Order: sequence, then C-alpha cells, then structure tokens
Amino acid sequence: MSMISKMLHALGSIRFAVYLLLCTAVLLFTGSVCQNIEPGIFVPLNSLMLFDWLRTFGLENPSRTWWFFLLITVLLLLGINTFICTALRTAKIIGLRNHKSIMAMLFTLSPHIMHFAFLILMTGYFVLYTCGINSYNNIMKPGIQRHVPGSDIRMELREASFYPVDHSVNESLKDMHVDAKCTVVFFDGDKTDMRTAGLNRPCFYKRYSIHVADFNPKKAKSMPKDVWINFTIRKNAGIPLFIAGIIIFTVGVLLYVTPVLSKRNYSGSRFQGSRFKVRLMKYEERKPTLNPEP
Amino acid sequence: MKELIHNLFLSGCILYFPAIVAALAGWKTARNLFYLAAVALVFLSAVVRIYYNWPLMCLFQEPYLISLFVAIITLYLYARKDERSVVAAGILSVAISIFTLLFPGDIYTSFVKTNSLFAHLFSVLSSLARAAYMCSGALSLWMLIVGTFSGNEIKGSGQVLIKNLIIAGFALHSVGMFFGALWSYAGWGIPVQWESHLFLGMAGVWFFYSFYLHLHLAGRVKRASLSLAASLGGILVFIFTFLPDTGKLRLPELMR
Repeated sequence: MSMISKMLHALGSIRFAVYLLLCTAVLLFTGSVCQNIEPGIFVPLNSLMLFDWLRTFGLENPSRTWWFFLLITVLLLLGINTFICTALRTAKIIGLRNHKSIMAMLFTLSPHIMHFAFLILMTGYFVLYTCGINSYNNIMKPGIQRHVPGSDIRMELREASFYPVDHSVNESLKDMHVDAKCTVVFFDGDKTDMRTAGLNRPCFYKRYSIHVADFNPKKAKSMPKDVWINFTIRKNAGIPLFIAGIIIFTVGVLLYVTPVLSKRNYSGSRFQGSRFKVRLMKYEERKPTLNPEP
Repeated sequence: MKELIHNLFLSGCILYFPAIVAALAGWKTARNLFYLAAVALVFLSAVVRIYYNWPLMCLFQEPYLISLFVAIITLYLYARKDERSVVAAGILSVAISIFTLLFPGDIYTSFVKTNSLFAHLFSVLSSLARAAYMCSGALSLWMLIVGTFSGNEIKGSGQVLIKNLIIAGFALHSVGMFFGALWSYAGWGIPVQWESHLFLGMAGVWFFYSFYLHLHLAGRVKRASLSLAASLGGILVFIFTFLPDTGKLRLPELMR
C-alpha cells in the first residue's frame, strides 16, 4: 500500500472518528462551562463574523475561549475524516449494488447520507460565519423608506397589523400582541416589489432575508399612533446550504431509524438488510486493503 | 391556573411514594394503579402548563416534560414485560420528578418569539430525546451494578434495548435541534443563538452520542465499556441539558 493510501485510510478510519467525536464533545462541554461563567464573551457571535470575533473577543479572553480555537481545529479534522470515510465506503456500497434490494441499499447508505449532510451543515455554518451582511436595529415606521444595507435597494414599511391573543386564563397574556404582519415594498431602480413579513416569518428579496426582531404596540390597548417594526436584515449564502443539510440529514435519519426500531434488519426474514450486510462484510474480508480498520 | 399546574404535579409526585411502597411489598396491582395515577397527574400538569401559555411556549417547561416522558418510557418498558428495565426506569422517573419538584424553574412568562410551531416542536422533541438518553443511562448503570453484584455478564438483549433507546434519542435530538435552528433562523436570522444557556450542552451531548454510536462500529469494544459510556452519557445529559433548566431549591408548599 502506498504512503498516500495509508494516510488516507488512517485519516478516514472509524477509530480516528471515535477519538475526534469524543474530543469535540469534551470541548463543547468545556465551552458550556466557560459560557456559563462569562456569557458576554460569546453573545457577540450572534452578530459578528467568525474571524472578527476570533481577532477581538477570542484573543482578548484566552482563558475563556481557548476551547473554541481547539474546537475549530478538531471540527476541521472531523470534516476531513467524515469526507474520506464517506467517500470510500459509499464507493464500496455502490460497487455492490447488484446484490441487494433497494430498501437494503438505502438502509446501508443511510449513515453515509447523514455523514454527507453533516459535511453540508458544517460548510453551511462556516459560510454563515465568514461572509454575508448582518444589519440590526432597522427600526421603521409606516411610510418611511431606508436603504437595504450593502445595496442601492430601498425598502418601505406599509400596512403593519398586530394580532392580540384572547386568553381567558392567563392575565399576563390578555390583549398582548403575539403576532405581527406587515407589507414591505422594495424599490430597486425602476422595479417595485412587495413582500409580506411576519413574526417568525421572514420575507426574502434578492438573497436578503428580512426578519421582524421587535414591534410596537405590544398590547392591543396601547397608543395606535406609535407604530414601528424593528427589522434584522441579513444576506447570507450559508442558509441554503444549512437548510439542504437539515433536509438530507433528516432523510438519512428516517431511512436508518425506521428499519432499526422496527427490528426489520435484525430478523433477516422481513428485510434483506442483514443478508446484504453479511455479503458486504465478506466482500470487505476479501479486500482487506479497502478496510481502514485493523 | 398556576396553582393548578403546581398542585397536579405535586399530587403526581406524592402518589409515587405509595407506588414505591407497593413495589417493595410486592403488591403489583396497587403498584401499577398508584404509578398510573401519578403519571396521569404529571401528564395533566404538563397539558395545563402548555395550555396556560398557548400560543406562546412556557419557558423552562422541559424538566416537567422530561419527567413525564421518562414515566411514559417506563410504561412502554412495562408493556414489553421487561421487568429489570422497568425497575431502573421507574426509579429514574421518580427521582427526576422529585428533583424537578424540589428545584423548580417555575417561570410562566414567555416572549412573543416563542409563538412558533418550530419552538414547540423543538421543546417537545428535545425533551423526549433527553428522556430517552437518561433512561438508557439509568438502564446501563442498573445493569452494571446488578452485574457487578451478581457476577453475571451484561446480557446482549439489554445492550440492544439501550442502543435502541440511544438511537431513538439521537434521531429525536437531531430533528429537535433542526427545528430549534429553523426557529432561531426565522426569528433572529441566524440558526444559532449564543445567548442560549443550553446550546453548547445540547451540541456536546449530540457529539457524545455520535461517539457512542461510532464506538459500536470500531469493534473489539467490551460490553462493560459500552455500558459505562451509556451511563456516563446519562450523567452528562443530566448535568448539561437538564440542570440548566431547573431552579434553586424550594421546598414545595403542600397545596397552593
């Protein structure tokens, strides 16, 4: 076996993955303790980009942030390990495609679907924290226009409506506005576009997402003249990757969990997964060079 | 209404005691009746708690939900006629409920951004996952203790049950965290909330159980080591994802 091949198998081995996963868990638990001691250091990560945070809060508080630097390194190694492991094993499974039913194939592929989704999620997080536009406290009153950050597009708030809850048993919720809906008009050169945004329902325009962060009036009986909505405006390429990762991971989980929890793969009679697994194991025994495990 | 929520949960916890006495005395019917009544009261308390704040989500409701879900898992194990697992999960369900009663995170106010289906799904699924993890931890700890005293090896069937509980917990945890991320994105524009006191602990638990599941693939790992890892997982779940949602010690008023 060549040196490169040996290195590839070592980097993509399950044993290495086990150590990396344990390291990641330990670092996150350490981070949880550090965050509880001084939460103020980590809250700016909601608005700052990763490298800006590392340069400022990260380097200024090494006693509380050292674990974060290590975590990035370990996650990078875990990404490499997952990529190699998934690529090698998926290729092996696809090589055996003529020996199994479609269900067995999907079941055997399901962990690798989750691994693939994990890689997409990690990439999504990285893109999310390294590039994009975050703009906070864009307080707007109806009829007033403002520029969308980082562009010539102007936006205007129109028709804001608020929804109180009619709660008979909880006095603190009575007449409280629990939802807000508004129309946002975008002026882009000669073009005008309208979108509807609401609480927990952002609107999207040209890769920008507009989120309702806060609003007034809070109660149905407040002064109706003092109407404003505070928007958070973001532009981020990481979100589509992140959503794709979520969907693919969930599909992988469902494909894996359904037969495992209904014991179909253990019986062998109702589901061919186990028989296929035996074939796969025999195949791996015949080709020990493909197996990264000792 | 707050009094009703408290009194229902308190009554449920009180009913666990005659269930324990009946279990020790070997009166199966009485034990089952008291236990079922206790679970019904804890369930009612959780339902009223959710209804009280609906459509918003009640903050710090998770310890109460976890107490309920651990009790439901115990009933499920009883239905499977797995007597040894029922003892371990039953002890856990009583202990967790009493702990929640003594250290309540009784905060009934909420904030408007919890008015989201994603928020409710996140809370319920992540509580269910934590309950499954804790049960697997209790089961493996019980098997380790019983195995040490009786000199018997841990049986394979017990390991399969523990592994299946962990797989179910891991799947629910993953999907629950995704709902949490979607809620965070819809509300704040970013899928991670660094203000959250739970985020890093939940992520740590997720990676720990990824480690546990990969351990099965690594080969040549003894059953005792797997049980130790599952027990440690239960303890970590308690420290990092259960304790942060509880409050300070407050002796319960008998009836409000």
